[in-house]
Amino acid sequence: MALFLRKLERKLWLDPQYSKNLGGLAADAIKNFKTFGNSLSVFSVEDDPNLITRVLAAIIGGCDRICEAEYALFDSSILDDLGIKYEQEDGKTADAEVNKQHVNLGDLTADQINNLAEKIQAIGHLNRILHNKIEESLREGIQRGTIQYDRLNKKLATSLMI
Amino acid sequence: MSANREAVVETSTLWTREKGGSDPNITSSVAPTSTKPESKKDLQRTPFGDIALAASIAFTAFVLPNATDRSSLSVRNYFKPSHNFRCERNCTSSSFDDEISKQTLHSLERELETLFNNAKNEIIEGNHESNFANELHSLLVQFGTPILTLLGDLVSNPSIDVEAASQALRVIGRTQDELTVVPRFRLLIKALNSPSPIIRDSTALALFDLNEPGAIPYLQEAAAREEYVSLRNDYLQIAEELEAA
Repeated sequence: MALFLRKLERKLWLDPQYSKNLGGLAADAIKNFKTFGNSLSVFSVEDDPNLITRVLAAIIGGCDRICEAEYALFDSSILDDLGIKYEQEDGKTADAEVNKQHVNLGDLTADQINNLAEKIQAIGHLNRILHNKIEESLREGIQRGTIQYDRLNKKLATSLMI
Repeated sequence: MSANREAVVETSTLWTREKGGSDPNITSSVAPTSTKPESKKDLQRTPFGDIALAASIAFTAFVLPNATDRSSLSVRNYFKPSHNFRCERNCTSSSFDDEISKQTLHSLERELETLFNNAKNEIIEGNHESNFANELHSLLVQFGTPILTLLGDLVSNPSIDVEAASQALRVIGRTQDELTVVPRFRLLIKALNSPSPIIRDSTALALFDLNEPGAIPYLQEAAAREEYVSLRNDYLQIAEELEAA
């Protein structure tokens, strides 16, 4: 059974208390599951904080600036239960190892996204890594050579040079 | 008068940073300790009270002449023309200064309102620079404290777009400008009391971006009264990180 990580825009949208106050899953929670071509990106991770930070740092490496990373961890069995197809497909981050952990959830319907959000809210794990840890991980990756500097977002890469 | 106001701000800063405690001008409730504004103008701009004013006079009279390197850096630079809203317009008369300020503040207010209205039509994503964030940052760098006063009113307005307000708070937190650290800190501490959990969440993150250890007791207080368990934990995580920094 694999553990999947989905980077979230804002974990509070999936917070059960937030939903309870609204009377159901917040519509904004779906913004955490923005699809492209009916596909959604997740990463296969183990329950290893260092690996999780590394994956998130690699994802943030494609953004304009270093920022905290909020994420959901959920068991692959959720996908099986919802009939969601998934397959490994190399990611496009600046970290080649992390790219191998990328998994594509494909042929998604709106209902499946909604159900996935509800399942993650019910039995998933929501968390956040602050920007200082992300920056630390990015710098370490660059030093070790696991992160290709020239594949980072240009603005972000410049900020790392300062 | 404006010199006194600025000195009050800096008195708070020195107290907070050197004693390692909380800003005496900020309480855990929404309202600061303001008791009696000197004029309608002061009421609109900076709600400092008599105690703070007395402290500022004492500070100006006794502390400034013997200021340490750090205080001289922060206090005196605060009056530098490039960071003094009125001096940027090369004005010398105080009444004329105030007139200019009122007009400019009014136009800034309208500019901010337009910016916030336009933000509703912009897709704002956390880790990507939005036009909204860029423009707000430019205004903040250019105008400093006056724009913060207006922003403070805007983000506490219950009808404001919550996402735009959240983005604004993040911009306030991450702007690199030592000279506005104190008013930005004060604004963020007040925003921790927002009725919106989204705004409270963004405020806590903005305080981490600001990297001001003076926020620790406020975050701990906010955690104690926070109804959302996850936010409570988030505040404490940020407080711990600030402590460790």
